[in-house]
Amino acid sequence: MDGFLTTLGNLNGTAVFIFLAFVGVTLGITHWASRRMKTTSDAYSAGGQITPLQNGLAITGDYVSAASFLGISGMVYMSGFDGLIYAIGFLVGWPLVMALISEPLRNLGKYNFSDVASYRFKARPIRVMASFGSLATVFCYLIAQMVGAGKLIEVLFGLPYLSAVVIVGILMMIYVMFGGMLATTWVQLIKAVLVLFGASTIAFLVLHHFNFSLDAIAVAAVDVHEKGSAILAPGTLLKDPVSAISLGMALMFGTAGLPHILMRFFTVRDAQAAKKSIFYATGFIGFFYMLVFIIGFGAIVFLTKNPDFVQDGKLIGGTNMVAVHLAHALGGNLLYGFVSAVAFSTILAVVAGLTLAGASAISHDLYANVFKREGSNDAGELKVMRIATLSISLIAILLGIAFENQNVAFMVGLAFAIGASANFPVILTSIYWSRMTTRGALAGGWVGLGVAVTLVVLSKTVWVNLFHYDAPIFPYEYPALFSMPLSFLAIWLFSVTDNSERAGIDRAGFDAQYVRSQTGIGASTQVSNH
Amino acid sequence: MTSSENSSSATPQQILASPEFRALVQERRRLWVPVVATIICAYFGFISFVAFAPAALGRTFGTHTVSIGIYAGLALLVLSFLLTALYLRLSNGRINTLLEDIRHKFQ
Repeated sequence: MDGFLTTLGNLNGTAVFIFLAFVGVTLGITHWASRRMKTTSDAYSAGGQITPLQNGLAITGDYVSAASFLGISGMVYMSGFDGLIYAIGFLVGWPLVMALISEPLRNLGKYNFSDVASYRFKARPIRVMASFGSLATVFCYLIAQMVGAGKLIEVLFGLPYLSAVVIVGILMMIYVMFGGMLATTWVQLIKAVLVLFGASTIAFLVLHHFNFSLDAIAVAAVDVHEKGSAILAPGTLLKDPVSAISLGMALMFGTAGLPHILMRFFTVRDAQAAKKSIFYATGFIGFFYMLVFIIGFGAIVFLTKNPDFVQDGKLIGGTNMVAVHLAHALGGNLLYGFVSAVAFSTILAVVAGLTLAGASAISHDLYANVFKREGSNDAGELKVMRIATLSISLIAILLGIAFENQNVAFMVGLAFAIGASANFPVILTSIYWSRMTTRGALAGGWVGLGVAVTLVVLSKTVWVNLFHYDAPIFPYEYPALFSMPLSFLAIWLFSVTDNSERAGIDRAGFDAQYVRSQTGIGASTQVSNH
Repeated sequence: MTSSENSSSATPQQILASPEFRALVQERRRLWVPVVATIICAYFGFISFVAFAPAALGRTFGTHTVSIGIYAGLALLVLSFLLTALYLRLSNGRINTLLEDIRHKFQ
């Protein structure tokens, strides 16, 4: 404990103050939210009472992870253009979500995408499949965030890795368990405002230095970067065309299959409000990625060869520290402290959203609709949701510790690949394809999930780097190019050949589902009465 | 809280067959098809250059230092936002009127 206190004493005062203020305010909000959390509707969707602008900011806070902020600015710093490929991929999925998914999803579902996938199909097996898709996505994402959080806080605050992971795990558990969706929304909203403000300030300082000329920044960056003008073209990130297209597919379609993001569409009043939230979110997220890009190029100019931040030709603390170091270089201790604290809050907001999505997959899908369908009541489901939150947080802490020394960068990619391969095909076809059956949905979901995970395990990142085999069995790094079409193929094949009695019910149910998905007649309208 | 399940008196088939519903589906299609096609073509066009002709993205025009690829990338970010804005704006017009007609008539 003494060591802990000395460490705290040596820290940047601004960082500690802002971080403690963030934790204080968010715990206060959680306390306020806990008194309003009486039903599962409050826990999963904040009673549907979030406004579109609030939800747009919360989606931003949920979507923009530390991987985006610190990872992409680090990638731009290392190789320029390649960082842009990721930033674009994270944004191009949104028009698709807007045009194809948002309205039907909001009109058909109540709390999560499993509601939609099981709307006209046999509920139990579909819910089991959808909850596995959700949990797989959530845990991959969660591991990446926990390990990233531990490492980052180790560098930023000098806390031991173990205590950093435990602090993150406990805070996210408190937010979700006691404050549910309402507290999670506010944590994400505040974080989004902070991270947009921090990134804007750094980018403004960079632009100001170059009289707001992109060209001047590029000239200076090319001049100082060891790769020269190669930083303005695609580099080594994507070694072959298959990897490029495969990664592109995972990023574009994965967004439409991320359970913690889709869950946010149910926190607003209706489909119209869901569309408005996406409009706001796309604006904020797009603006943010532009800032990150400027920050990355600014870092090339101000940090490369800067003895304050570079030791033996390497950036102190690794390339994830680019944004934080640049804040220090341009804005002194104050901005440095602010951005450090924002980086921490960024992680908390994302893990809280993930935990809630995972908990709802367990309590709403597995508990209430699979194991205890008859006579399950709201209070019981809420209790299970809290137990699930506790369990997921504990598992996340343990996984964070277990994966401490592994490179988990591929985990976010895997989460997007599973989203694109297991969740997205089932959501899209169940909404739009009348001849789809329960059997087809199950085949597609399980095939997408199984193939995506198997291919990643057989690829170089896991097979060679983690298991130390000589050569990868699957020669590419990203599975979506194969797993996503296979999932669609399985849905089609196992639906058209399905002549069972159930298939008749599934197809007959399409008309009613289609009318509701298009018009919202009969859609879940949630009005909290307290 | 109240959660109203399907309480309409009209059958789905009646709504499906109504001219308003068919107009609604047609209007929606006229909107989503171009939006989806534009973003998929633009993005996979960009990715194809990354995959098959990376050098082309490194070219510059005039006296600029910022490459075509970077301008294209930033343009894709702007395009994504504009498409969602466009979709929201256009779906607020005739589609909402049709939706109200349908709800009024059948609910």
